[in-house]
Amino acid sequence: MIDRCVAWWRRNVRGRGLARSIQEEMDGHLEEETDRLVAAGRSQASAEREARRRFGDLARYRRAGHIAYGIDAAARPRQHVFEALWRDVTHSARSLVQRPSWTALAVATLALGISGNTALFWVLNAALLRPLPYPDAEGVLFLWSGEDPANVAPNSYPDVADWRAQATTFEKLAPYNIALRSFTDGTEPERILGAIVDAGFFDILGVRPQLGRTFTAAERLEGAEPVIILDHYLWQRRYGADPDIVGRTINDGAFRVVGVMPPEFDHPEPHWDDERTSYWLPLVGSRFTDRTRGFLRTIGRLRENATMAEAQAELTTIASRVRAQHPQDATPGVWVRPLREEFAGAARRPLLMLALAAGFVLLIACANVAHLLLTRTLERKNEFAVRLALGASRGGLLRLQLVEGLLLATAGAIVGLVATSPLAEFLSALGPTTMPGFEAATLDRSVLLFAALATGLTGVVTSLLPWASGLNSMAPPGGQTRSSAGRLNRRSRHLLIVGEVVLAIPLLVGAAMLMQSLMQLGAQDLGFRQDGVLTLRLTVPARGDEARAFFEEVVDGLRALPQVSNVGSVSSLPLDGLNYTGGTFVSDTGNATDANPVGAATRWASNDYFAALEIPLLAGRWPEDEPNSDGVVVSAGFASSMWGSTDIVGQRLRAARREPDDEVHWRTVVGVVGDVNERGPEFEPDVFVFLPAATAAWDSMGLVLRTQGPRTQVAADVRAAVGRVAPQIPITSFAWMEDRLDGRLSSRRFRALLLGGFAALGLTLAAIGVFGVVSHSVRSRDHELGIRMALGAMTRDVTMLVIRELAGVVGVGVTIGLAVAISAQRVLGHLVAGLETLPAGTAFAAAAFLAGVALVAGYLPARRAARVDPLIALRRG
Amino acid sequence: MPAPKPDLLRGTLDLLVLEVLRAGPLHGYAIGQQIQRLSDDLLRVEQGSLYPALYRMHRRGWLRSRWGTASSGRRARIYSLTGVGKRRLASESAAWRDYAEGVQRVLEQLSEHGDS
Repeated sequence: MIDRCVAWWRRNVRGRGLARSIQEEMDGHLEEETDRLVAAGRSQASAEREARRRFGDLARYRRAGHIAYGIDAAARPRQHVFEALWRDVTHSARSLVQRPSWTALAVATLALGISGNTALFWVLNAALLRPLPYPDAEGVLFLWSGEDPANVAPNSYPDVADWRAQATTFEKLAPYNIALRSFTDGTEPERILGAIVDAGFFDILGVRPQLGRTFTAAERLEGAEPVIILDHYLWQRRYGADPDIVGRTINDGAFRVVGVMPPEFDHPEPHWDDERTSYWLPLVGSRFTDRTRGFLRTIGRLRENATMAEAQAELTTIASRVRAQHPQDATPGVWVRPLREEFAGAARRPLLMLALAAGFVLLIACANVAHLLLTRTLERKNEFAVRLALGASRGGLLRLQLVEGLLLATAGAIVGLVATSPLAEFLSALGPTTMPGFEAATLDRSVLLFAALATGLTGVVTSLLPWASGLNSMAPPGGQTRSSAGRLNRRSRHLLIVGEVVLAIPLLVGAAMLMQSLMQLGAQDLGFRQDGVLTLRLTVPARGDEARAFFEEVVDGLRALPQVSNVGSVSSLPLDGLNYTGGTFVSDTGNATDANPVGAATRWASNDYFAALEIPLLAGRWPEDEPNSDGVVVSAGFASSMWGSTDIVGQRLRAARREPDDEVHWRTVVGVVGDVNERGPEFEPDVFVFLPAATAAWDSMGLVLRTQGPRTQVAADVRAAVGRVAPQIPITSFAWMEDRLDGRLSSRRFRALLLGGFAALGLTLAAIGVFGVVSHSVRSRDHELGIRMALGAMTRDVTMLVIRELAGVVGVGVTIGLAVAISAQRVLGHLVAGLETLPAGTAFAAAAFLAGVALVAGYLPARRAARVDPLIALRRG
Repeated sequence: MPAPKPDLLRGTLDLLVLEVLRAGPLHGYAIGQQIQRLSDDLLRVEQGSLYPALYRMHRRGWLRSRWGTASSGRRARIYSLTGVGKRRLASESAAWRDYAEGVQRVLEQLSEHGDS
């Protein structure tokens, strides 16, 4: 062994070094002679010619030199690296072009894999990997309240104030809340999303306004003049990018502008539903004294040298201290999360899951092309053997293989990239706007870099697989017996089959799981009718009786429309997600007490609201819809949690007291309605207490309309009817309930569709691959099967032999694949709601399908081989 | 251009190289130049033929070589005599001198006869 190593070292390593030094020495000689001749007055070209003539036959002397040193012919001095590479490239390109259909198949397969991955990375890059638009964003954390980190809620102002006073790991903490304001100046009234932010908010994010300044402490005091900072895009869109806007009042004197943020600045949660946060108002802390009302989101900047773990530990201590002082009200715990996680939001995990799926598809594509290359390599065995005999080194052959693999991958990448751009556009057109990143996705350097990396990796994998299995078993002619080479090839083919099956099954199972959860969600009964229901929200610059009178007028106007059969008003629209109001209740007969009340969402709704949405009255009657009505209806869920029964008409309830001497206002439950899932199918239904709409004095109310007729016509008539009553009032949340629900599910549907697409692609590729590998591997055993037949085997024996072997291989693949799928489901089940059950049917169908493909692919050639006259088979072998 | 001279007898080149290197280490090109100069351009060989001879002698241990800098400033492989090489030179040159003397004598006698 050592002897062989030494000999090899002599021949290759030392030999190559000597060969190189011979080349260098002779080149040096020629140069020196040339210089001398030039110095004697010759031109460079003629001097070079003469020097070569005087030297004699360079190649001959070089060879003679090698012989003198006893160097292996293979260790000739290396040609210039690029020269050799270029020769390999042209050689490979020629041989690829000579087999157009083979090449097209390989390129198309790789293009599918690469473009899918690149398109996905494109989106992923924009959504997850793009640097956050804040300096040192890694030091910015989100703080949430709650018992455990999996179930967190917004913070209350007094809690945040305590943390702020006590925490030393944070430089600053700043709570904020979303805001919705009507902008009525200019041509079109609009209701725009913004944020109310506390001191330090902009410092934490480290961004200065492009114009003007941030808020002063005085502006955060009760009674201060209302001021506003505008988002760059709102400033451009609504105020014509007026450079002198700072200091002016806008919105009919409602705000004085103190600053405009730069275009690259995004609010920490840039979008709420699909609206952009477009302005900032100062938060007046003194208004929020209720520790039980958690509605603030809080960001904080870590002090230098402080870690997230330290911050978490310190906040936990502080929270338990605060909790000891306010046992009922303070949050039981604080949880920190990195800003990036919140920024990418809910899209992060599904995107990673999709990336994994795309990676699987690429691997399957690689396996297919690797098999194509393996087959081709075996066909070219003789060519390679001749090359080896003629002195080609194994390294040279490997390089040739690599070049070929890379060429294929590059061609695939080019085709794939051409397809990527429309694919990504298609995805963004299809993709819901709530999926962050889609609108920001651009083809940038990192996408191209990713594509290049994916291509390179693909090329290396596809060319190394056959090399590892097929070529290293190859020796110069006569060096290797046929059967052992055959066994090696068979083993690598079996590995390919196992690999494809293992990759395809989890892909399909994953897709089936998403589809299943989507269908479950889509089929879920939300407890209210959606078809034909139009919703809108109006906000008037008034409160109390004036506002009530206005809404009545609007409702009357809408009721007069022939297509509208019902108009209900409600404080908060279902599936709108913006206004959450709730309270805690006790009853004189239920098991709740002031110390331990029952929480419920509170809604102010007219009786027609229930009629328009067909929310059933399960017991009792509707309350009188009058300003001083004391009757309420409650949802069945609330009745159950308060009284443990729905037979509770006539019971009384009131808001829980915070202080023992708080005034109490008893209300009577006059009816029980069905449970309503207002937030959407992915949530559990809330429990509700519905108060009569007339008892509300809000400036903003939602309307639900039951309509008939063509949607566009109805929508136009409704808008016109509202405009007749209130031309200056903006209409918001104007949407069909069905579309709203659709939008809720759209990102899920999109992901399921995408994953389904990947799964279909993966299964197709895997089926093609398995078929190709199996039929080829059986066909390559013609000779062996012929021998078996000649030795007296029956046709059945031979086919059974093949089938048995295949069944073993596919069985291994299926087992591993199912194991992977089951463990993946364990992980996914935590990530995506509704994925609790493994779609066993799909898993087994996928396994059975691939096994069937393999068996058919094996059976046909095996039977054919068994029917061939053994003598012919032997001779052919 | 001078008329091409007959090839050197095999073995002769080795001797000349050894002889040139006796004066001190030189690189290949300089060895060739030196041989040409010392022979007053009488011995003319293809320059390339020098190298297989150098490698042969190097492998046999008559020469040692190292990479250094030539007088022209180029990186070059510089050869020098080993002990074996020196002894070889002594015996070869003695043999050559005997041989040349013999040849010389034959030629002188032939020309005397031819002139008569």
